[in-house]
Amino acid sequence: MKCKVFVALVVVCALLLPVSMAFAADKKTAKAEKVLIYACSGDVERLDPGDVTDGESIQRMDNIFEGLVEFKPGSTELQPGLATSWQITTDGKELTFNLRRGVKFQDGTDFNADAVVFSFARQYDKNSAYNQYGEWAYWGYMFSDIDRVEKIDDYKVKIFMKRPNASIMTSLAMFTVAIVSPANAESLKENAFKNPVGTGPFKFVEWVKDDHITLEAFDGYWRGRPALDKIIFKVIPDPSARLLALEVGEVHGIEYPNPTDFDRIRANKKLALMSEPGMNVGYMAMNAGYGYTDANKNGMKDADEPWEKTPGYYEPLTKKQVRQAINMAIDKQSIVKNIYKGTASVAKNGMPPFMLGYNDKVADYPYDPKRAKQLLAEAGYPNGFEVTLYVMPVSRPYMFDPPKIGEAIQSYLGAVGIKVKFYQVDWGTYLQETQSGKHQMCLLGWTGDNGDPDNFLNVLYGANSTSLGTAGNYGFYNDMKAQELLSAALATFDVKKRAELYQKAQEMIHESANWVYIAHSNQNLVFLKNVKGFKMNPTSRMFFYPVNIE
Amino acid sequence: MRWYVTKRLLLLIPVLLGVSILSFSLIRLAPGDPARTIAGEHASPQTISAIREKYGLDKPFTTQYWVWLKRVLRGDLGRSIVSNEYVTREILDRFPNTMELTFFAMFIAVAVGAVAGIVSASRQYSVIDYTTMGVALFGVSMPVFWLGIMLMMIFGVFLKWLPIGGRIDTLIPFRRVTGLYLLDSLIGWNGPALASSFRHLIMPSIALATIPMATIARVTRSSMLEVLRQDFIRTERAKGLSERVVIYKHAARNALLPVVTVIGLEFGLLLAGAILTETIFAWPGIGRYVVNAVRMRDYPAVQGCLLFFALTFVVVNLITDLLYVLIDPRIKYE
Repeated sequence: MKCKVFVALVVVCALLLPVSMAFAADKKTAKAEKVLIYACSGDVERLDPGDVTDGESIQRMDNIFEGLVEFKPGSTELQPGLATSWQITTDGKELTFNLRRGVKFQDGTDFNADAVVFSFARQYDKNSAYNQYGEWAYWGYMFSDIDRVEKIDDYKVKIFMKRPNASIMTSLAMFTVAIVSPANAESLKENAFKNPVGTGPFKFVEWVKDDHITLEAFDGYWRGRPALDKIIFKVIPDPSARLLALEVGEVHGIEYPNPTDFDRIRANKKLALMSEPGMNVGYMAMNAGYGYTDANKNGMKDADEPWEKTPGYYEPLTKKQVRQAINMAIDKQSIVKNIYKGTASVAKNGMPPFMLGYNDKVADYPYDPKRAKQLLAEAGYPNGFEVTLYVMPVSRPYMFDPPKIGEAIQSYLGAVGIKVKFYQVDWGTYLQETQSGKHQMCLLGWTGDNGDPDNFLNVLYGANSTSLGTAGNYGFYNDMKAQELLSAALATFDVKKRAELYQKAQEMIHESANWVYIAHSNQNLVFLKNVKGFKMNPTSRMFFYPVNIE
Repeated sequence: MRWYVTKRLLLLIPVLLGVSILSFSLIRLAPGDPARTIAGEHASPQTISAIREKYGLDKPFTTQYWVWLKRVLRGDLGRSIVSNEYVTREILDRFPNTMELTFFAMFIAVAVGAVAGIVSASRQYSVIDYTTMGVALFGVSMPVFWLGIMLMMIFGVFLKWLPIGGRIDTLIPFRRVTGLYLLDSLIGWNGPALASSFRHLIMPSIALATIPMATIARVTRSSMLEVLRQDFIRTERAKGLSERVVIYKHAARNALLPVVTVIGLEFGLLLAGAILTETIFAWPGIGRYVVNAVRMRDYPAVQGCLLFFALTFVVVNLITDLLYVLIDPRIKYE
């Protein structure tokens, strides 16, 4: 090694430091441009709205693309988007949309019925040349009731349904069915996912993997150019580093702050902590013992599909009194205060309070260990029993720290004589086993997809959802009367009627007590105080169009 | 010498084959289903099966391995299940980021570690000796994520001298050519970009350097101590050469051989990515990528990255061995 060269290198580097300080461009923003830098916890997976399921990708897509309908800011109510109006036939099987005229894609091409048909067909039509370019994971799950989408004229499309589904309207507000530029897809084919082109307020500029994505204002946006010139989604995985970057002003907003930092954030006059209920629920499910095998794979419990014991069948949990006792033995307020650290609200129903049909009249089971012991004795278990609790191995939006919650539950149930043993496996196996009904009790939860109550109540608590191997109803609540209510609510577009049916169903679910509803986690964001106009949405989606920096 | 190099390169074949079998098996032994991870929590079993079929995950292990190996022999590492991008592209997008950080970190580690080792050895059992070895031990014992946060707080928040994370100020117009931002800034003759990328490099490099620095310091020290006991050192002192010349010109150069080995090994290890440093400092390196790929059970990405790391490690060690020839003319390879 030539020492002199080495020493020279050291000297050069030492000199570079003060020279570079002189440039110190980090604090100066481009004078004429308003650039919002938003720090995220992770990078996107893909840049195609139809082909993503992760929150980070959805965030970016929601500022590039739009759908036929959209949620009103801060709400789960719908408003026109790329469709100005729509008509639904009385049988609910045909939906006609009148499309907005004069809208352009960011590549200059026209938005019209062809673009709508393209965006849908590439997902469901196996004969479409573009179907091979994605997994379209959400289509099978949320849109399988759509039979086909057809162009009526240049500014009119019709969606044909296999069966009526009232939640389809809120599903159409999802990112999955945002309208993409056919011209862009045709020119880039398999690489279109790297260069997104939509009709939204911001257009894609660059993606530096794992580092940042830059969007810039789309001058031709049909609502008018946004106030921001650019948005940079910067990836800073560590929450402490994200907060430090915000505190020094390197970024303007952050997601997922550490709950332990909330006091520090509130004490900082330059920062604004935004905290609102999220569209989720965290719970402990108790396997009531019976499911069915969906032999004809129609997703419904038919008469020729008998009830059968689940692999996790456990006699004590088949008794309603025992399940109610367990509900009363657990101090949910304390769990929310000490484990969620105030970043959640106590849950009493299986969906968040802001959703259509939420039944606020339901009286939650009180924390009453004495009464719990009485109920256990009446049910024939005066000395309690042993039970196994499945504990999630991962942190979820609705349950930040499952092992801690498991320990708390173990302690509360121990006080009434129920001895809890834990069972943990990897996440994929956890889901497989609980969907097969192998658990006695399990911690789980749900983050809503489309803002519709059916997406909670029917998916999680309907008897049809107790099919062994594909269950979403982990309490195995198999009351067919409740299922009738939920199915009727899905089949009608009458909002008032839907609400009544859902409220009735919640009373029945509560009475059966197959779940201990623990909490609805808040979504938390922090912005610099000079960032104005951002509105939090119950669906946790991020829309930066109204945002400005003062 | 040519034959020696050829022989070493040919040895790559059994090494890479072994790594490929190991990486292929190990990731599949880990519980978890990549198809389910891609499809998302709410996906239907039909969607999950379709994804499994699309990526050949429903085929027997040996079939999957053979199909994958044939592709690799054609230079195709496959597509990432998560991003749908070619794995080669994903690696090439991130490896230069790690290379730049590693070079800088090793530069600091060698500059500080080697000098510390030489000074310690020449003043054995003195206060300087104990202090420098103590500081080196401190550096290697401190968790890197703690050290990183401390550096950020001191230099980023309190003193406001250095930026918090990332590779460059995203507001500076910059064209990425090689992925080595210092070099790309020079190519583009972009002063602000050069300054910004240099400033962003400092803290993560220091944090990352603490790991190899201690090892380099200790090996340099013990190697120097051995050389300083040799007769030729006594001869040089007897000849009247100054202590500085004896230590730095004669002793250090002879003590370097074992240190070069350590440098090569540490360099090869760091090139596989320093996940904690990259996470704390939001450095978009290959370490973060491969850990995320393992978490998501992205089989093609994990397999491709592990093969790449094995290749890099072998090449770095070959270069290290060839460096011996430059340092010590007595060494010849046949």
